[in-house]
Amino acid sequence: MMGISWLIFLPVAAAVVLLFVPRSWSRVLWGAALLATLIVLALAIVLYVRFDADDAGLQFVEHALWIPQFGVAYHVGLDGLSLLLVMLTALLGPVVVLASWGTIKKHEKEFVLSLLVLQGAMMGVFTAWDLFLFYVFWEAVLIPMYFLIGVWGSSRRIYATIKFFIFTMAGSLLMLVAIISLYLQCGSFDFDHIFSSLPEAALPLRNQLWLFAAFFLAFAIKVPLFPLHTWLPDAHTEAPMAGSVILAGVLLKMGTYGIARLALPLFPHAAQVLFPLIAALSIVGIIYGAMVAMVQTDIKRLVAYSSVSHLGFVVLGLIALNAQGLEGGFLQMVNHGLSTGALFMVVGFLYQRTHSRLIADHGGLASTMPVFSVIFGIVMLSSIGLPGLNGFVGEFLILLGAFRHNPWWGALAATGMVLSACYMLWVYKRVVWGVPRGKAVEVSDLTAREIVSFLPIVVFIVWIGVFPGTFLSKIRASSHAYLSRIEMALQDSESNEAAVTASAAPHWEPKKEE
Amino acid sequence: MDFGVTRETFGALSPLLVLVGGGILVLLAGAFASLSSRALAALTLVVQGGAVISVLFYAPRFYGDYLRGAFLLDPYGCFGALLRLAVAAATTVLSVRTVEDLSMKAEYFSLLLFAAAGGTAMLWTRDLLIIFLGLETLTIASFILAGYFRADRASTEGSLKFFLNGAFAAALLLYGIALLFGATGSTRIPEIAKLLPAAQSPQWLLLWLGGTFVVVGLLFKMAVVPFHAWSPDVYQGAPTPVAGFLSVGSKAAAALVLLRFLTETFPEGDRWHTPLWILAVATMLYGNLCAIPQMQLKRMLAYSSIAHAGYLLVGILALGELTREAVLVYTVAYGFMNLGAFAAVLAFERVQPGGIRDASLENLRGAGYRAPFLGAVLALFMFSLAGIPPTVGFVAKYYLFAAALKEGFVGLVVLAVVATAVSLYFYLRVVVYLYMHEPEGGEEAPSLAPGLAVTLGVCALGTLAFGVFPSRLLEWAAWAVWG
Repeated sequence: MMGISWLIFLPVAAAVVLLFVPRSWSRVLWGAALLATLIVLALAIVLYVRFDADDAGLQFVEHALWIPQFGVAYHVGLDGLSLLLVMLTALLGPVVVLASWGTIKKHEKEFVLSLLVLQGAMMGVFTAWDLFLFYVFWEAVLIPMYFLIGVWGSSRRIYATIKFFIFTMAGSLLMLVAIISLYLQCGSFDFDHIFSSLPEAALPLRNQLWLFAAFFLAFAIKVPLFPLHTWLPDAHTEAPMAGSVILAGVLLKMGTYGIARLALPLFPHAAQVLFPLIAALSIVGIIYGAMVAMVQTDIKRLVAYSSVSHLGFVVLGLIALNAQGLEGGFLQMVNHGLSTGALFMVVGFLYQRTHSRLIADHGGLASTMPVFSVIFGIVMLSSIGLPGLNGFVGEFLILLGAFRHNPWWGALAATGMVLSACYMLWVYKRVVWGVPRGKAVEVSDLTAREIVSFLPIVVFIVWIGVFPGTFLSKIRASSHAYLSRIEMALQDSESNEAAVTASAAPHWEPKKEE
Repeated sequence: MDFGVTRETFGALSPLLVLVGGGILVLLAGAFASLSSRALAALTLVVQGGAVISVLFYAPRFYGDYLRGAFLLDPYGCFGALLRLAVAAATTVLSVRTVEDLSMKAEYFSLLLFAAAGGTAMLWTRDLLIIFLGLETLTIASFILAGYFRADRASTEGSLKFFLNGAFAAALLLYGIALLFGATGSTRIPEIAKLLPAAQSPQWLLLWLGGTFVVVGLLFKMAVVPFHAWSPDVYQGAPTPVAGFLSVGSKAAAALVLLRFLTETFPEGDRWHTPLWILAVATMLYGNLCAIPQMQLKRMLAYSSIAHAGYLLVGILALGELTREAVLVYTVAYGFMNLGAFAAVLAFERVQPGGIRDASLENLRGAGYRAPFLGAVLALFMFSLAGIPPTVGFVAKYYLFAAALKEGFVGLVVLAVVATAVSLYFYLRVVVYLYMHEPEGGEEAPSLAPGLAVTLGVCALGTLAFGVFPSRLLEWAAWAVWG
């Protein structure tokens, strides 16, 4: 049975095997990594094709007891919400391997191992259906990423990697406390069980708020939501190209995925209370990220800040809690992964040629690197949401959802789109147009390997832009079920709230077992 | 006079007899034949192996009270004894090269055996006097072991500090026992517990004062703040295997005895909550914060081990049904990862070109590439100590936090989590030095001694295997608590 476990453990197993390959066999190392990630991609495509779009439930479920004493099971599965992110993770795997092949000069073996383990762990995050399992994968992602930034990054890499690790881990640890509390409430880690039993547990709002805050904080750090974003520009700037691509492409999506998968449906009422705050932070993030991006002199930092802006959109779409917002949010996660991932590859390839990331050092690349300039143009336009490319569909749906929820949200967020067009077009103009100058004079165009690594991304940028229905149809059933579940929970809690406030909110204590 | 000595007594106490007899044997062997440290270590291992076998297969037939209640054999004691013996055996293996050039090799190994006997005895009883005797046997042997590098000032200084502090702790413990005896006329934990609820006001004062002194005496051994001051100097000065032995074995034994004392003497231990709560928080924060600036690996591990005493205390003070199991799991997890860490430090000390005794972080630059196995396992131990999945350190922390939350200690757990977040910094810094700085010299790593390699391998395997599949470990802990 070619199931989800293969997606998770095939890359890990490949890493274990490669552990015993001598470090001088670099071709074997890279070739094997490419092969493993390609197999994962093929498996993911098989799953995607076999995925039943009309079934809102979990598919391809695998279930096994893991730690019976803790009530923990190895429970994985796919639903519409996970599907696109799993596909994105699978797609970026071979892309990243191909893009890095030959550019990593030191410790190639460790690099390849880190990439593979990272991919397996990320697959685990998006498919886990057990809270404990989810947490284990969530944390396991940190370790290879920590090495990717810390070993292969640029000069301030150690500062950046420790900051990255401590920021995200501090959030996760509080989430761990919340997870344990939730377990003590519900007596199970299983998502199904938690979702179904939590409304009955009917926590007082005060406790819901605490638990929601703990979950949301962990996810918001990962997203990163303003003002928790400060680790991101550092991590991105210092990370090697592959690290940046995965960080922007997939890792940040773990945060938005977590918000959608856990924080909102577990504590809808608490979320609703905090919506104004979250929306405000998202909108500030959208505008602030864009404005800070505009004044960057370093292209990589510019892209990093643009991520802060774009992910504000995603969060806004998710908390709009309507079909458009949710679908737009999920589609935009993928879009951002593709566009920003590709932008980081653009920056990476440029840096390999000129050893500079400063905008001022470049100019007139259109004449020296025509292919590069075309690809850069496509991903740049996709990032600012040009109709016909992927970014437009996602942002449009999100804005629609936001407008429907609260016109102010939509109006304010829309300014972010304008701003993003400003900084992106401006940077493109300065780097690509004009007379070649500075280090851009004597550079060579992209190699075949580099073009191939861009190819799948460009294909999907256009595909999603022109036929978004191909992808949206797969998540529609799940998102409808999801929204109706949250709405029901909200109605329940509204009717409960009256009762709870009337009985003077009893002090919540962890439930003791008999 | 009838002491209640029967054939069963010998069966039940066989591990102790094996250890003490074996210790004497090693001592004599050293006196009458000049054996190499390798041969002595082998002999010691045989003795420890015998003790392990008798704990595992022979002694369990004799669960119950012996010598008129002085000794008690139960799964809990056996669990602790096995942990203790495993640590002692690993220490023996690690010590072979350390004591090679010293003049008193046999004494060193026999002291290890006596220390193990003392540690086992204190777990194997409900009598405070036996606890005291066991603890002192353990500690006095440890004083000597810590100062084994007589020519080395740091070693001697550490040993002296250890001795002075330890003597103070012993006095407190004994004083506490005397008070409890004065109040109840017994030194047996069950009898004290029986009299406790009926205690009148002056007697009551004696009981609580006595209990406090006993607890403080044990906290000294665990190096809980503010009774920790001896430990960094001792760990730094002591031969590295001994430091590992102290940080894992002695701490775990003291923690297990403290857990037994509190749960059995004061089943409704509410009064202990507040003071122990404060001590636990102080210990976790102090240990982790003080570890941050340390550049010497052993000193850093010493502060880290103070912090871990704080985590253990979280489980001990919560006194819930699950916390007892959680504490046991934590001691085992801590045994694997911390002993492994000390073993790795030892290996790095030997890898140093000039044989520098203290492995400092600076010496680790890029060592992960020069010595791949050593670097990988040290990084694994650091991740585990920091409590990152999928290692046994995470499982242990998770269980501990879950058990404490179940008892309602939300604030305590949140503070423990904050302390853990602080600890990330210095544990990760080791990894930073291992992998994120480029090696300075291009020299190849010398091969590891087989004993050292095996110990590292076992610790790494335990850290990882119990991290991914913890069920068996949890079963053992449940068995030890519930029989």
